[in-house]
Amino acid sequence: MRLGRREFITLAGGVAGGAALGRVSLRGISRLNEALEPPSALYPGEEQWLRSICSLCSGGCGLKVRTVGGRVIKVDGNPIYPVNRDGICPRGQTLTQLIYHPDRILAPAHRSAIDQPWETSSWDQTLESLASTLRRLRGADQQNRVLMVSGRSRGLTSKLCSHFLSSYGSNHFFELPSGMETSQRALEFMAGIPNDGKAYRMAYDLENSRYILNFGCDLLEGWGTPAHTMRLFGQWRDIKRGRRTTLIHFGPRLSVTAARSDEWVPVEVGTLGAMALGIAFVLISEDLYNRSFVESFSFGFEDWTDRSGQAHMGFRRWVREEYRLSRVSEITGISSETIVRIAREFAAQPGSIAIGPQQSPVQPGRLSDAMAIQALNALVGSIGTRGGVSLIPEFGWPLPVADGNETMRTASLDGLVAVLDQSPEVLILDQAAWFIDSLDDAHLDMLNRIPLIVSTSPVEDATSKLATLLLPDCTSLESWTDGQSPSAYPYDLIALTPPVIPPRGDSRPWGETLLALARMTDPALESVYPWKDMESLYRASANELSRRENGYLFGTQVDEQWQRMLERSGWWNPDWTSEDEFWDGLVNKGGWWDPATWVSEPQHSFQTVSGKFEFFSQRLEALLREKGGIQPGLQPSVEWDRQILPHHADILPDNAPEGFEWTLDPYEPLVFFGGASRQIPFLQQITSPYSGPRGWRSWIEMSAEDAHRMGIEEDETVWVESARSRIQRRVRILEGGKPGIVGAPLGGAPTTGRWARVESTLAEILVPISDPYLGVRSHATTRVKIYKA
Amino acid sequence: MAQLAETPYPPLSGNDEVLFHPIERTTRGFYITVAILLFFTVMMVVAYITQLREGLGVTGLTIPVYWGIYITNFVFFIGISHAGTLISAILRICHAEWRRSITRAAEVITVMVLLFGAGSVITDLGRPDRALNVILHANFRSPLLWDVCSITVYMTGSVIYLYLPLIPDIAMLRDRGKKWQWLYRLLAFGWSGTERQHRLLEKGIAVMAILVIPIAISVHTVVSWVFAMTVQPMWHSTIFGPYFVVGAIFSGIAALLIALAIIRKVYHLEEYLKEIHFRNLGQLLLVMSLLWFYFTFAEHLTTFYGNEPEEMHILMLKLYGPYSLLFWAMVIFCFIIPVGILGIPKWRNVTGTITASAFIVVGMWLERFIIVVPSLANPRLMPSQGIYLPSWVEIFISLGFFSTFILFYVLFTKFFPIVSIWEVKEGREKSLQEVHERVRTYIPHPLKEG
Amino acid sequence: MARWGMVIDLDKCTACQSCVVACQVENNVPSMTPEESLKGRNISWIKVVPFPEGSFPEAKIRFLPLPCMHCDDPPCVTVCPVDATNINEEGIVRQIFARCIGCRYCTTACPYTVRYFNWYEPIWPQPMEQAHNPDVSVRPKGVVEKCTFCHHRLQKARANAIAEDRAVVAPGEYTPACVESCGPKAMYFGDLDDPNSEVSDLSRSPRAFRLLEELGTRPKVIYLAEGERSGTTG
Repeated sequence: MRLGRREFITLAGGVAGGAALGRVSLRGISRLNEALEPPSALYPGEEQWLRSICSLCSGGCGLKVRTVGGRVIKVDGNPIYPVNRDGICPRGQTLTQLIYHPDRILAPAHRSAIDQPWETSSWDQTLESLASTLRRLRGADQQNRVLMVSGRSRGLTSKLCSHFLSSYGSNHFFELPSGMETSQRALEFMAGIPNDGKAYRMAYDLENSRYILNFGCDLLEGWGTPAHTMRLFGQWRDIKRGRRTTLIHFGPRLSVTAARSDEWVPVEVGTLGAMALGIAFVLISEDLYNRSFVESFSFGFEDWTDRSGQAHMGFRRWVREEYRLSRVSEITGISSETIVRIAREFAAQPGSIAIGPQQSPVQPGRLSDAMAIQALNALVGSIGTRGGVSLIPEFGWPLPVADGNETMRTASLDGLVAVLDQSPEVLILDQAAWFIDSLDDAHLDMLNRIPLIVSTSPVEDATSKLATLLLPDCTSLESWTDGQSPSAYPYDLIALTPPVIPPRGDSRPWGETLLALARMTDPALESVYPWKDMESLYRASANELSRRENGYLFGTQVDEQWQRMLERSGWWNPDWTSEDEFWDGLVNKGGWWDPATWVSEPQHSFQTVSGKFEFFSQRLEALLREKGGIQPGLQPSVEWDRQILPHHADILPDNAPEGFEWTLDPYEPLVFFGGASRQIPFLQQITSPYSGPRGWRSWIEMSAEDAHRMGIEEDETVWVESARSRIQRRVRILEGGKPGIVGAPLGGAPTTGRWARVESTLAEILVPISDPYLGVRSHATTRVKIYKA
Repeated sequence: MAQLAETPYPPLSGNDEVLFHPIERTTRGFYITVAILLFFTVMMVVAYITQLREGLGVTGLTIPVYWGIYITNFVFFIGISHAGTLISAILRICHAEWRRSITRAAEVITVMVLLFGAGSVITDLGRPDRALNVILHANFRSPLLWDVCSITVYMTGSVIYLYLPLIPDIAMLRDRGKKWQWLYRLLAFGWSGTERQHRLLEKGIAVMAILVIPIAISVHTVVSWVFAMTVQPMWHSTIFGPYFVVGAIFSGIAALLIALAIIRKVYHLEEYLKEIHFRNLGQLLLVMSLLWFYFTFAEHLTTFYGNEPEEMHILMLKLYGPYSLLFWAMVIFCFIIPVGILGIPKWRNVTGTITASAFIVVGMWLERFIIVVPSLANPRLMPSQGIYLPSWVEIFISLGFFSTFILFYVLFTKFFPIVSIWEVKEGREKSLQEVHERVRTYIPHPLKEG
Repeated sequence: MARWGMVIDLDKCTACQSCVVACQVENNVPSMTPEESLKGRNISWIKVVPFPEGSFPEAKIRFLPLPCMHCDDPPCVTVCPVDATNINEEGIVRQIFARCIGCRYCTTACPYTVRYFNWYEPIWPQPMEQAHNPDVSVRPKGVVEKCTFCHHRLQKARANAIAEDRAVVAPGEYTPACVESCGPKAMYFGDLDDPNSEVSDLSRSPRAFRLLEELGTRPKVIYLAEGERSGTTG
């Protein structure tokens, strides 16, 4: 029962009067109690609905924010933001807990060593101490001793970070991998990209896919943009859209994706490439492949002879000889009937696509697998088609400076670790909790030797724990925030929203801090970035964008249909005529996009050596020749072709020590995807949908069969031991999981703050194995044993 | 009078002075006992204050085990309460002459233990400060409210039923003119032992004895309905009413036997609480044990045979799962051991019956626990959340309830005779003749005397 | 008078638990400390429950978002000794926090285990209570709370309707927080008595079922079973 003040006074007066008359009624007292109960404010303040963009992962979903009296009350999906349209992932929902987190860092601070207490100081003072170090290193021509690790990966601030570092003179800028790199590299090798200096990105038209072979991607956990994938999943199964899209999941772990797919094909660890080639075998031998595409627009399908007269094996013969069903079935542990059935279904209709392999910061996936998977897309002719895959020019916020759009390639974890060895002096950790998660104790020791570590984290996290200088960023709701097409998204899109609330305390948007840092470090740098704040930088950037003659400001789904229709008839009806109009429209509607970016036409010209889709990638061959090949003595021969054609490579170490009977499968759960969010209580309460509300601890997932055999109970603590080391984890038992597989999530208990818990990172036990082509580690095969603690 | 003298059963005479000793002499043992009991009471108070200040979070209760040993205690205490009133009333109505020295001890158990039964529910409330809402906003569709009503009635009934036969004894205490004069004068209600007063008292007791039986049965039936009226597996059972009543009488007799044995020993009342009392109550206990087993068996067999998945899930948890240890302990304590002891006539002595009783009291507590917890711990739509373990707060409060109950009982014996003196006297003086005459009325065609 | 109900399409649910967090934020549900959370005392008016079926390799896990069913015959309402929970004329089962005595009879009587108890005084570490929704009262310790179908949103929608001189709340004007946040659009909400509403249409689908229907509770949350995989011509 809630009462207004007036009623309350009446009631209280009545009760008091009643008491005075000696006729106090019990019911009256009880009413009084009820009225006194909720201490609700009478007027909480003005209610507003504002737009913003989520910054908790690289997806950047559009947000609709409810504020009351200047406080953020609720965050929901922005219905006109094309990526997520209304929906939102659980992480975005917890922005309120992040903004008002008790462990927020609200002022810049410094300390002399990590075991010393923090001292807060002014922005000028703190920035000056960093700027003076930067000046000193620059004076000594040691700019490369400055490193930056960022988790932003998209948007103007991210671009500013990398540009700032390269203008300063360092080339050690590392970004969170998007999780698509290996698939994209494979496609680049096979389909090619124009040599025009522009960046390209791989995109899937999953909205229109009808049959999806998912090679290990955790679509419903940490993959791409969660809210976008969820929206797609709803569309795939929306009967009103007609035929239901079939989703087949290959992978050893019973992930949420596996459980929610139409079919889970539990292949053995590290056999995704073999599985893809087994399907290719059926397509080829049953003549189910897209003949018109393969014959006219592909290279290396049939046997061929190179310019020097050397005969090479074609993909057709290669697959038919090497990947007979019986062999694939033996490698993958999947019956040939299943493979044949899935291959036939895959070829039966347009809109089939193969995606994968699974990737995570510690597990970049193997190139040979990725090429086998992309070969399937070529076999069914799904390159560039409706529901297919393609490489499209990267498009995002332009940095309005000279060379502003030159982007630095994301280096691998190994590359970064190599740099750590060269005694760096300054390490700037910007949204980089993911990075700490993927390091083991030896790496962390290396970090501890760096004299100056700067953290930009808005809350206490793994980076602030290591840092000696804090330059606290604020959340995206407290600053100008941009968005752009997330990875794998098929349309060009940029978005921009003004702050919803002012920054809490003395925190400051990282972009502004960078601009200030540039001003303080060096007049030369200052002249590169003439903007006083991020708003004017966005304005300048938007002015460049307004010159485009395509796309529309955000609108409803009805608008979207209409715009598509216009485009198909070759019309474009611009929403703006001037820079100012564009800016106003952008800020009012929240963004601009081009719903017609995806051409939906089968791709017929490829930027490869042959000008065709190459089953035998001549670029990869050139690369390998340059590198001297893996086995130089063998070229040129069938053995050489074997390295270049999509193939399956045994990656399980032959000498797996006795007793290490489980294979660890590291993955990113939705709540910790991208490494952050460990400090958020609501997320700790929903760590996995599998086994009730047991968060706040790191865990592993074991099949019920294994657990039963070992006598291990749900929630019991066990040792997980690999050849390198051992760590403790709690067990979650997975009914129906594949025996021999242990799912190991990245992330877990918070490492700092009020709810901190000391736990070893998963990286501690991962056994790195290098991918022979990309030269980066792949952890797919860490063998472990598990026993009760 | 002349006629009386002619009968072959002249009134016996005796000295009941020993029955006043507990009241008039205080030994060191008494103080030690009270001190020990008080210690637990204080611990209980500490635990309860903790719970009041912090909230029910200090218990081991979780989602979905919302009810734990507080509710177990509630059912258990209400069950024990059947010792007194019901047994004493039945024995009175049946004119079982051997009842005379045990009724008081039984009735006191009822009144005292009911306090703690009701107290258990209050302890279990998240908002005890709002307990009055059950009157202000009573919802008569709720079985818990039925409980509130029936327990209130039962409480009132048993207090009256305890008090009425106490009046002549209080008057005796008043007339002895020793301690607590004012109290006894007040409570004696002007009793002077006239014929009319006696008649009225006898009438009152007779009416109460009859009234109290349906009330007692209703109380435990309603307690069982708290569970049976829900649709939870292994709660939703039609035999829960009689099953609980049987269990209640069963545990009540066991508790009574233990109380009698202690009184007899401590207050040297071997002359009043004789072997035969234990033998008779032991026989009753044997019957109740068999009856209890019959109900338990019927209840579980029906579930087992019906093989409904949800019911079976709970049943299997009891038979084989995490609660199996408690379940089988219950079967052994409540059936196998008691029947083993009481089934053999020569073991049906004081030692035998109280041994059996001790097991039964523990076993019946386990039975209540096994009814309350497993059905809650494994709801239909939720993965199992592990086993419920009571916290120190719950354990101390429970121990405190037991000790405070005993304390109250001990204190009662300090103020009032624990054996009904006037009834014993009356039995000694009148009942031989009465029984003789009553038995005569049973006999067909009795020969005319003389 | 409307009869509000929810339809949840299990085929579309991705088990992301957005609904869980959306509900907690909207309704000022306190987050638990790690210790309490590990005891399994989280309060989540809607939760996602896994139902593993079969064993490897034919294993399936079904996920069921489980809010209060808002039964037409709610077992919790009859057992409350103090009338602290009731069902209103629009079928929403509500809890009167200020009257509840915390006996937890309703939590034990509910076959869906969707009622939650405040074991302690709810705590929001400073300054988390800044984000409190002023429309929803904060519960004191020792009382039971539950899903209200975001009843406060209905009140607001109704106030709007009255202000705009409309007799009824328009379809879509009143949506609980969980439904609003659902990424794959697996949740629908509306008036079950309105034959033209989406929910009443879906509730007649051959895929529609209600949980524990056999208990006679007549839930107003209706589930759509998982769909059949598309047939292929291949």
